[in-house]
Amino acid sequence: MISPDQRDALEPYLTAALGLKTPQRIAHLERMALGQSRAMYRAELVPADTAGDASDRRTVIVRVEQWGLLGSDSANEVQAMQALHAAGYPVARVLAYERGTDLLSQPFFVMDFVEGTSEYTPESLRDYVGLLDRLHRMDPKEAGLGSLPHPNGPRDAALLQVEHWYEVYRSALVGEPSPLVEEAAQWLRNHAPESERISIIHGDPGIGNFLHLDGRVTAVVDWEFVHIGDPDEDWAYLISMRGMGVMTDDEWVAYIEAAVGVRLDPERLRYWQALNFFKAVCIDCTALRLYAKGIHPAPNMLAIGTSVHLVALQRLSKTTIFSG
Amino acid sequence: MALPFTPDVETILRSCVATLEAEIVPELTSDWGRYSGNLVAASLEYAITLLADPEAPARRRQELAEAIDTLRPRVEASGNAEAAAALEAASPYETASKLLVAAQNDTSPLAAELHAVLHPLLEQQLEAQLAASSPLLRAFVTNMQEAR
Repeated sequence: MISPDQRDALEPYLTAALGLKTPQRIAHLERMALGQSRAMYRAELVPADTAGDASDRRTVIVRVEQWGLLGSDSANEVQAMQALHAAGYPVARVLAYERGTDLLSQPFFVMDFVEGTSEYTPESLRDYVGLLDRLHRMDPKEAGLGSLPHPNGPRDAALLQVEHWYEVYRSALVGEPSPLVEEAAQWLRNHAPESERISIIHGDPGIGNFLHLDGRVTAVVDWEFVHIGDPDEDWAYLISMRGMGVMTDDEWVAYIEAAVGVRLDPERLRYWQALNFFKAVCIDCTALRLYAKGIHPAPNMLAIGTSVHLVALQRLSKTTIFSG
Repeated sequence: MALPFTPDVETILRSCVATLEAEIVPELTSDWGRYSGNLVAASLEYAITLLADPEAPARRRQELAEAIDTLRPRVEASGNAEAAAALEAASPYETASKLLVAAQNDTSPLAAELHAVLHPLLEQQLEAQLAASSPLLRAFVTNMQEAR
């Protein structure tokens, strides 16, 4: 949690971040019960010398890293958000990015609060699927994301992801290696498909990670896993992770084709579903490490590092890829 | 005077769970407070399950070691250098990891045998661990749904 001293130090920082001449005070600061990778705070600011009526209030979101939880930092996230906002994509505007740890003990960034609900509707889902397809059709260089690692070889989009998440898992190990994870990593290496297209990948797309008002998406959120890769990775994630329970896999495939004309190959889809389960398995290990080492002994770390991890591992293991 | 009776750990932990769920969490006004309170109660339930079977980790390790022993003669006779090297690993988890990786790189009947012996056991252990930690999963999912 943000301590009273940190809150005091945050007030002049946020005043500067917003480019305001009048010093601001934080009238209300609340930890949001959303997301896991970052601690998210909603801060309501008012001029320090007033009681702060509604017209004076300005709401921002402070998004704080948590000791490398889920194997990501804010650098790519901020870069992508800034670039995509500038390109007219619906992303919250980033107001400040603090790489240092003096102020809140962890790096953080500040962004505009965007109105909207994350409870999806049929209209908002269709709008969102169109936006995800639009993201995949943007040129990374033209969008200002040319500095992100770019897969070169035909199978590199898959292989780079496998090795990246495998490294996250290995560096987070607090006990013995997991045989099922090690086996999955090797299967994913051996079966990595060639990519037909390379694009900007959100990395955690789907229901819960977009806000909308009256069916129109106002912001796509949670960009910590953004990278350059194969669009099938995002579609597989949307279908099998955040979209699970909304429709069957087959219904999702038909829905996506009808909505944006993307035809998903069943075998490739299955590979990318397995890779996304693998990614979940690997990043969850970071939570167990933080909990076991006493670095971040919050109960959600225990939940992610044990039961959430095991569910993902079970899904990975049950994926028929290991049957032959 | 000394206590004539010392409550057992499980009773104390169950009291904490019940009090958290019935008295404390409903009184909390912040979303994050309720979120964390639910998970603390679930953590205590998980701890109760772990305390009831302290030998489980050692037993799982032993089961895996025994399964590997049944495979040892077949691996040694197979001529598969990668699988044979796996038998030299320091722990059953490392050995099983390397054997399953070797199986992924092999198309001979040995691969199917390694898979047939190790997978059911590892999946059974996974399911037992998942069952033990299920209170955490329930709380986590409920929290996520309420947060939306």
